[in-house]
Amino acid sequence: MRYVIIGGSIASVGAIEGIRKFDREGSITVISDEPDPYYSRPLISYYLAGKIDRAGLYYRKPEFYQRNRVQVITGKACNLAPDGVVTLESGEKIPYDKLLLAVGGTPLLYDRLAAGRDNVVGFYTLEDVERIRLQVMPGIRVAVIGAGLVGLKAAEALYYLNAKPTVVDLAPYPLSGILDPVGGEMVERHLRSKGVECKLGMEVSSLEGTPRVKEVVFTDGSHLDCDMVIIAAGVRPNLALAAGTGIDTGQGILVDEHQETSIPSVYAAGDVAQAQELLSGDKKVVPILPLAWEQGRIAGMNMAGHEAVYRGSLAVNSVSLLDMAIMTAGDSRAEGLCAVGDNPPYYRKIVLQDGGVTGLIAINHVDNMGIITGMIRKRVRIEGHESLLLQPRLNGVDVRSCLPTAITGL
Amino acid sequence: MLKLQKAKFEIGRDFDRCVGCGVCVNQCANEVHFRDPYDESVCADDIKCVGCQRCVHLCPTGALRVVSFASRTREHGLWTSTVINEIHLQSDSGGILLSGMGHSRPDTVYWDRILLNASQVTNPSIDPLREPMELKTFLGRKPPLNRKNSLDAPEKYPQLELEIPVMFAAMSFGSVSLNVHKSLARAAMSQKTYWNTGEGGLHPEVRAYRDRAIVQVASGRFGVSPEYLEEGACIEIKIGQGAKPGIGGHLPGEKVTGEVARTRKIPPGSDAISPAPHHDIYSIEDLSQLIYSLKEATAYRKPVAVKIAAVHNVAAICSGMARAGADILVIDGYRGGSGATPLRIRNDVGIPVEFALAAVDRRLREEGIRNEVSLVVSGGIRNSADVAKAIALGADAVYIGTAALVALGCHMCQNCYTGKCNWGIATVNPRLARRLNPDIGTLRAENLLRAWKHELAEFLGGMGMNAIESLRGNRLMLRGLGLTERELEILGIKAVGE
Amino acid sequence: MTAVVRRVEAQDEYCMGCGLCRLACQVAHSAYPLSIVKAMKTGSRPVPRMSVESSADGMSFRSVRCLQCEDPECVKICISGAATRDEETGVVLIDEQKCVGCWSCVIACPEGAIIGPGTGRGKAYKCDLCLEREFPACVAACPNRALILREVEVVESTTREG
Repeated sequence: MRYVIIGGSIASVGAIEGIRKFDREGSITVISDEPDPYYSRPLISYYLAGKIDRAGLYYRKPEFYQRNRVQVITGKACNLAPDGVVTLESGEKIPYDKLLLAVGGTPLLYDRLAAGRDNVVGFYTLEDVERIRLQVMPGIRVAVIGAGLVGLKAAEALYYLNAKPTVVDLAPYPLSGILDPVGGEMVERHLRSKGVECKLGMEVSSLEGTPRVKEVVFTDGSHLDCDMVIIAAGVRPNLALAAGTGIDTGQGILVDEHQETSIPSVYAAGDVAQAQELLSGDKKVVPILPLAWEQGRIAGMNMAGHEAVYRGSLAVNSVSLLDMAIMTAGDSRAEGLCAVGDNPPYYRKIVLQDGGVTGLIAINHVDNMGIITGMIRKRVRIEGHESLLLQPRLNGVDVRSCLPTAITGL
Repeated sequence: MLKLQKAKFEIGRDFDRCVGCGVCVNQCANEVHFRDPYDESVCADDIKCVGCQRCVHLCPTGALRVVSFASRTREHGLWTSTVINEIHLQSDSGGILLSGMGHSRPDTVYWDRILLNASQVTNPSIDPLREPMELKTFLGRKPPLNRKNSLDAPEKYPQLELEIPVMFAAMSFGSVSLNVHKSLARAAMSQKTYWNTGEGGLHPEVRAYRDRAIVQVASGRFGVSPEYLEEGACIEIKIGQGAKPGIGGHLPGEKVTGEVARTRKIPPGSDAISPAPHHDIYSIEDLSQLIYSLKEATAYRKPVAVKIAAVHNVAAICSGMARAGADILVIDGYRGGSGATPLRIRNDVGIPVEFALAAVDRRLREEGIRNEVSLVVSGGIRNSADVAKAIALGADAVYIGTAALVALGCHMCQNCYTGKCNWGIATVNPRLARRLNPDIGTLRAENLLRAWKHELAEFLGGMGMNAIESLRGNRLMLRGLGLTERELEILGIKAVGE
Repeated sequence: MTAVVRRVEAQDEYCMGCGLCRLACQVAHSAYPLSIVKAMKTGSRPVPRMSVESSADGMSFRSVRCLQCEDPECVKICISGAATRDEETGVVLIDEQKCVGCWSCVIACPEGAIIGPGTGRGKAYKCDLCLEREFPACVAACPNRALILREVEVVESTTREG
């Protein structure tokens, strides 16, 4: 059996592990356009901040490919023939029996804004970070476009490097993709209290200055002086390879519960895949690391002939931002029951639907929050015990006694 | 008002060793130890300490000592510190002094003045490790000697069969935790002796051990039902208790929690009051009616025991009980324990069981009915030597209550009535009761019985006997040390050297 | 392939909240595993790998530690590869060196068994089952046998991950 995986990141790692769980013999070829595959993308901000070294970026041990007998080809796949051949830009043709598309996403806005500018950098790859490292120095003014998780982690790293980051976003509050206004404003206050500036609710119209950008100009006419721009406005699935092949796509590549695309023997996983979402049952792209690994693993197991079913994506995020712990799970932005406190600022929200929890926001006092995530996954009915879940210190003993079905052992 | 009551103990904390882990704080239900909110350091409020030693045992670094409060009043033979403290306590509170467990004054313990014999030269001793040693004991009514065919109709003479003449005394669920019942019941099962429910009913979770349960019927009739009577191996009518002769029992409403209430068949939160007398018993004839009602109710398939406190005319009362139909007579001496008793009653009412036993045994022998009934004594039986001496003085078996609880972890702080037993014994508070894991409790109670079995066998072997039957009522095996002639006469034993 | 792995079983019924398991865990994972006093009093306090929880009414308790899931959520969610499951021993471990303190494992663990946000160390910690000891420190320290060491047979795949 010839397995070919396009992409070398986390979904790819999951697929290799999934395949090797059931097939020790088949050949695995990974085609990656990054020279350094399987580093963890969420760690690049830690690397930038100097909290980990380059070796610490890797999601698996250095001998991972060797031990799993994976052949790696550095190159860019440019064509995919559904009859079983992948063509690289170099012209090389690679036949496959089972193919996984783990091609990830493309940063939004980057192409439009960065063109031809030295000091405009994305925040998606290790290469991006290495470019930032060459330019960053104490006191430098950096406009971070995008106040999502990636943008804020970039701003945090810059803060630790004594640069002066300003976070810019169209949304009125940070982390608008996962937080509600209450939580978002709490995060904004926290950022400001640490000296991280925020320009929110502002749309970037253009970056002025060539070859180096000197200011960010907004649609309202105002502008922000800067020495560097980091673009972290999210990613969209990389559909170039799937285009014209007949693979069904929506926002991303549509996959079934086995991570298989509309073309048999071709699978997709990770940030490119549009798989079933746990709570709604709809197919959605949820570009977070754990789901990439899980989808990759499911795809890998199915590719190796072992039927495995994807349980559905649940968006779960946790980030520690300048010592503020922020967690969300499920439908975190919907209306729900809230508790707010001070010292340290504390926010908890649980979203309820049909008597069960479907969403969670937790800012600080985050111990034990996995119990609530577990309840979301298991659709535990919690009527009458909502207040238990809102207490700053979530009491596992009381949760167990009031909601015995909430927690099951091994 | 300045409280005159003084601390009984002082807490010594070695701060070099204390790591501030807080186990003393979380284990002390009396709230002696606490964390100072200002600096998180661990402090102690000595006056609340009852001396249960829980913190000392649990402290992982051995940083704690609980010692008697050193400050004493000026020495006085009559007006001792204890006497003065008691007066101060009463003048602080205006209440009856309450206590738990048994008689606390260091009066003569007659068991310690009685010594056992051993064989030398003229008859050989027996090595219990090599020879079989029989401790089997039967309790229940035996046929009269003068009747012909006395062995006919054995079904009329239901017996309890004990592999060791030591049973667990009556302690109700409510006064002790369910885990105590579980521990003692399981130990009684495995060691083939009996445990006693006390006047609190039989909890469903210990029903599995009913074959070895003696079910008690007392003045409050708590938990009594036809099923309850039917479930026990034996029914015990409790008239009195050595720790509080003439006094009823009172389980305060706050201890009558759901489980206790269900088991006692009373409303939760209501005070469980056992009247001082049985309101239907004013004479031996009335007692006889109750005995036979219970026998009728259980079709004469179970022996009926009657338990009284050892009081002055115990011999005559026991004679009446035997004639009233009691199969087993239980005499509880003034050292018997209790979950709650007025201190004065505990220390100043009733007589030592050693004399009560000797007097009852003699009286029944004189009347020619000793062989028809079984005699069980209790009240301060501490070890196997006490058991051996009691049997030689005429007892068929003994009950142990306090000793059993000590085996489970009781440290005799005598504050059972507060419900704050830090050892999880005399409490139904779920926070505290969980501290006695019945798996551990069972093992400890079993170990105690096993150890005593070995020791009893050693005593018997030493006296050249191979069955406990040979020691029963065998006063020749006893000698009194430092006793008056009158005491020796009542006990029916010779002095040492005689 | 079946493997015999250890598990700590908690009998909550007999947990009395004394916290000696937690203390023993702290000491076992400190620089002075043989001396409670030295472990607790030298430098900053060692972090326990488990916790003891008490109900709001103070009547019931629970000694909480990792259940060593066979398909652990913490391993799936870990962004740094610090959380791994050793297929031979069945033990889920978090490599302190690799952990970046994002608390992803905390929001993923349905048992609430990850220690971290409250410690101020910026690292996640969890039960490692004290594999080098005859008994896990918590089990050995429990005065009421509320913690029991079990040897469990589990069916394992032949592939190692990680």
